[in-house]
Amino acid sequence: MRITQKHLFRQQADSLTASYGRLFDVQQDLTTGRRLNKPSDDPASVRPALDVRAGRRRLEQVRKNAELATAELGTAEGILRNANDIIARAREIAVAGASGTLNQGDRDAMAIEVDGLLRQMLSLGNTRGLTGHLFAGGLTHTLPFEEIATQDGPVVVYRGDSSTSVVELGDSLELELNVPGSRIFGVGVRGTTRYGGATGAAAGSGNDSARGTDRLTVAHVRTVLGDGVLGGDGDSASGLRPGASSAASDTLLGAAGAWSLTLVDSSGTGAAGTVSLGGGAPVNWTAADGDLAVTAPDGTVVHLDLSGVTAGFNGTVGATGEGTLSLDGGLTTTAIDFTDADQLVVDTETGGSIFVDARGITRAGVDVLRFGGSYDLFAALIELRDSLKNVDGDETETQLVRVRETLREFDDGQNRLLANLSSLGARLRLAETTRSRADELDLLLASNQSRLEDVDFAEASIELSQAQLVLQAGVAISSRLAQLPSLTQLL
Amino acid sequence: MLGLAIGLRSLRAAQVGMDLVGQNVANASTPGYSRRLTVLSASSPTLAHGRSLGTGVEVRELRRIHDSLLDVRLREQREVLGHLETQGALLGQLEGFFQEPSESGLAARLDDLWNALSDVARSADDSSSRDGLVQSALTLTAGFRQVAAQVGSVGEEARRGVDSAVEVVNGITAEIAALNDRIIKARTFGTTPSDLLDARDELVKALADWADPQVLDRPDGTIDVLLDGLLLVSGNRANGLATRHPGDGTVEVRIFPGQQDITVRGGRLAGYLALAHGAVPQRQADLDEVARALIYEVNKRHTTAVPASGPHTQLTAAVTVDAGALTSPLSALDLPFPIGTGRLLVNVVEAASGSVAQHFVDIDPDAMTLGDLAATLDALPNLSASLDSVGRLRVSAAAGYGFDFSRRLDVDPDDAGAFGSDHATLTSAAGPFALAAGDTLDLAVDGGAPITITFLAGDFADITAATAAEVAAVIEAQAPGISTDVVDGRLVLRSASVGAASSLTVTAASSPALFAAGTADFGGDQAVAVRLEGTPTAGAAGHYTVRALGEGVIGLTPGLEVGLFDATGTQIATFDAGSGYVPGDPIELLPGVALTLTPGSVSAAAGDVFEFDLVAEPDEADVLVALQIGAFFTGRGAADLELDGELAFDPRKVAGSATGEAGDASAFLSMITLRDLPLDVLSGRTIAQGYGELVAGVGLDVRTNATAATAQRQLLQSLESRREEIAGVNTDEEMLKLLEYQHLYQAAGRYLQSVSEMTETLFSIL
Repeated sequence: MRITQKHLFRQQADSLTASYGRLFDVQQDLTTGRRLNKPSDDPASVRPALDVRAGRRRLEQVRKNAELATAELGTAEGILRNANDIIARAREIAVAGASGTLNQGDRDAMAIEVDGLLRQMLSLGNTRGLTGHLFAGGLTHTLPFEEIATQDGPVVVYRGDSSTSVVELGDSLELELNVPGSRIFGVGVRGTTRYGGATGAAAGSGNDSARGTDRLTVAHVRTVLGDGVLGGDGDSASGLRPGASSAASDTLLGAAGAWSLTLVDSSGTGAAGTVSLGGGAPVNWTAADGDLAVTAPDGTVVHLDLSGVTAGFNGTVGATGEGTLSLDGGLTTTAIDFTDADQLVVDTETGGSIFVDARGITRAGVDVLRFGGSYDLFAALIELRDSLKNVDGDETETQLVRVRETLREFDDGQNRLLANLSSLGARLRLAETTRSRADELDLLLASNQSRLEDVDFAEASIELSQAQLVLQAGVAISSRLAQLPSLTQLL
Repeated sequence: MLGLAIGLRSLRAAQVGMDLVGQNVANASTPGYSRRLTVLSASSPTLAHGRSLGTGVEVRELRRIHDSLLDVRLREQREVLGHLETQGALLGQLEGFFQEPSESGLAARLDDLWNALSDVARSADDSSSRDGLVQSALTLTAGFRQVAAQVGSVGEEARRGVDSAVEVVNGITAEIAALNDRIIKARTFGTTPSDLLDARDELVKALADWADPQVLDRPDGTIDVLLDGLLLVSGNRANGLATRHPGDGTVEVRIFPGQQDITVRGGRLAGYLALAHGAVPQRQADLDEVARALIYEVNKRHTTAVPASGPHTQLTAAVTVDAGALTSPLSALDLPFPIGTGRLLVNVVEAASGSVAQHFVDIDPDAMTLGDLAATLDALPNLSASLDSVGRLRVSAAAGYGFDFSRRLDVDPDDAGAFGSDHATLTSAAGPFALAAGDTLDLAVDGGAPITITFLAGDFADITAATAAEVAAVIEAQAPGISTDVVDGRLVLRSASVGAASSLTVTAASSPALFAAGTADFGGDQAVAVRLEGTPTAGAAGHYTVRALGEGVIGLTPGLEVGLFDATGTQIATFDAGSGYVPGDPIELLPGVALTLTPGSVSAAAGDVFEFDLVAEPDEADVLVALQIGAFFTGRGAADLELDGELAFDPRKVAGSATGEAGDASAFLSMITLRDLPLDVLSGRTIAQGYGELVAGVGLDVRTNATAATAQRQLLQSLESRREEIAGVNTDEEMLKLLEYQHLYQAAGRYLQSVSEMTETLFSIL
């Protein structure tokens, strides 16, 4: 092959250029530490490298979510444990308070302690976490449990909602981060409605939706005597009329035939005589009595106007009393239907409703209704406090029964609390497991990323040495070429 | 005398030989130089004295040693290398703009968006996570725009490259034409103008760097240069190349006279054209495809969601429409995404009570104009809609109301009061009703005198198929004390008063089509409050009615049941609402949908019913996505991708609740699934995978190009070696030749001396 000088030198120049180029590439890799600086460095590794990076970023978010979940759930768990302790103390008080050996003063002192427990429970329920109120469901900026005044006294209402906030823990695994307050402090299985009082009202056969303790006000509106034809709702036969304060002060209630008055005109002129109600002790009257109170043996009272008694009347006069039922302390009233075994009454303050058997109502008054199984923890504490303080003025026997019966509500409440606690515990463990798994997985991905993107320093160092050698050889050859003999020198 | 002549010829020949050696040595390093060889031959013999006598030596030819076929091959390969190197440079730039893999490229910004969505899904009410979402969206959109602009700039550079290459080519062809001219003139003198030929060869070689010329040798010594079969140079005339930029990113190259477009397949020009017409538009399209998939999918979920702060009070579309296009049907408008056919669900919510009025708007893109759509929305109660000066649709709610396009549940489905109302209500069977002209219906309200309603043919479109709405209108007109409603296609009549004393009786009816004579209902003291709650699952979509199946009081009457019916009227479930039901407790009608009832009387005989709709897809026609109303992203592609201006201004308008419930973040969670969701528009790839393929593709292009360029360089090197082998100057060789010619000269000189002496001797004799 014919070689010219130009060829030799050009070839050498190209060779050196290539060697420098190779050296530069290796230097680049070593100083950046990465072999995949741009996609063209290794196109086949680009998509796996992007996938691995994306995977690591997602893991970072999962880890963040898991840490947040651990914090929030941990706080919630602590609060529920505290709530459990409060309930345990309340139970102790209920057991002690139901004992017949204490006096009302002792029970008053206990009521004060229960009120303190109620305050503590409220503050626990309203605890704030990292992002707002823990137990308000989705409405984290709203106070979940609020004590409001009603006609029946203060009740605690739930202002949050039942939605749950969810974090993703990767791979379609979602974790509920919170527990809505309604689920923890909420109600269980409803039992029977107990009526306490002397009005004669009883539970109907329908399902009541009111909760906790409520009070049914049975009010008297007017009394009608006999045929009611005589002016002022009086009886034409006997001339007996309801007294001046009858509408306001009577407690007599009932349809025709429920009550009867026995009227005797001993004077024969309608001037004086005796009158008795429902077989009670006769009461003397004169024509001057415009507003005589007559009481039945059970305490029912009727006021009579005896100014116009028919002369010589000696007999019975039927008395009927009309009245109203109200669950919300008189805000709304329903007229009593003495034939209705299931009269519907609605508490407009709480929205609860009851079906009342009105057939046996004979007297006005306030009945205390307790809806077994429907007490949330707050209502149970309120009921314990109120029954210890005896706000309804019950007989001691009744009072003690009420105190004792709160125990069952506390038991139910505590069971629910414990169930929620164990669910929280399970979730907490899941969050912790996820976090440690995420850490492990991240290590694995990091090593993958390194394998794809990073320079193998050992390999690169060897390459560097090789490139240097090649360059050195090239430069040595170049200098030899410069020394080549040529005929031009000799001629 | 022959002797002198022979001697002289020898001297001349030797001189020429030595000159040529000098020429070769001087040009040993000149690029493109082909060595010259002096070809000597004995000069023609002359006839003398009956004998043929030699006349010496003459220079037959100054031969240029070169292989023209090899030159052609060299030229062709140079075209390829020029093409590859130009492409490589621009592709390398393109690759650099993507900045992958790294934490600052688009892949990382996309992941930041998914992570920000995860944060905001967790606590929709939290302003810092909302701000974080807005921030990451702004960073992402800026990133897309930047990359799109940079890809565009590479295209711009390629086009400029075409322009400048064309200028260079024009310069070279002009020189070639000039050389052609000189060569012709030199040839007329009978000489081979080797230097000019060499120079012309060099020019052709240079041209090959820029384009793919085809060279034809002409018998007169000129060359024709053709490009894509059309003459670029012919004789001493050169046709110029010109470019035209139509403005769509392409460049047209044409030869001047004739204005015909040509295709260039080699050289740098081809490289620039390939980028401008191939790689750049393709990568722009790929990037746009990814951006559009992102815009569509995120917006589809966002436009039908409700912000945490509640339903919207005002929304403005992001898409503008030219005034001239306002009268065109929707299908003819230039919108980012096409509008299909289907229904749009519009919920109008009363803020105070939370009661919802659901309206379905039918969308027919071939028949409706944008103005029609605005008018239809404007006609909905408590809603107004209009087009602003640049054709953007603006929707606002009346004071005290809000609106949204979510699949929210109507929490208060008994607006008509046809289920357990405290008014006396009568509900007919479902229409249409077969009435006859002159039919009468006698209704008594609250025990008063019966009012006779007469139905005339003129009140109906077709009296034999009277709709409930038409009948309601007739009754409203003739009996003002009775209020009417239509529920589930049934006619609902309601007395004005409430309570046990109120009543509604059909005292007489000439046809039992509406009500049978004797049908009656009484009011009650309590109205049943009907509430629906929950978040329906997507599969439960449809129209449902709930009807009382017996007579009684909710929560009291043993065996009282209510039935759930689907759109065809088939009963699908039965629920206890009597003594087995505690009022206020939830009844699970469908998965995720709970009904609560409060105590009150219901009656199957009176037809107590309420209806509700569960909607799977509120925007079947993609209207909201097409006009970008309540959108998250705006724009048509990567170059104009932006976060919706209203969201950037007020992050509270970010909408994450798909059902309208306050704590619901299902729309955000649905957006997060896009991380792993294969999309049809991306051929079954996820958004991240589509982008990854784009980046890997660019990298592969660069790599392939670089490998080919390296191979090409090596090929060229070996071809150059081969050329050098044939046409290169070896100075040692030339030195030997110099010796040769020196000897020849010396010998000739000595000979001449002898001849001269002989001549002198002759002259001295004379």
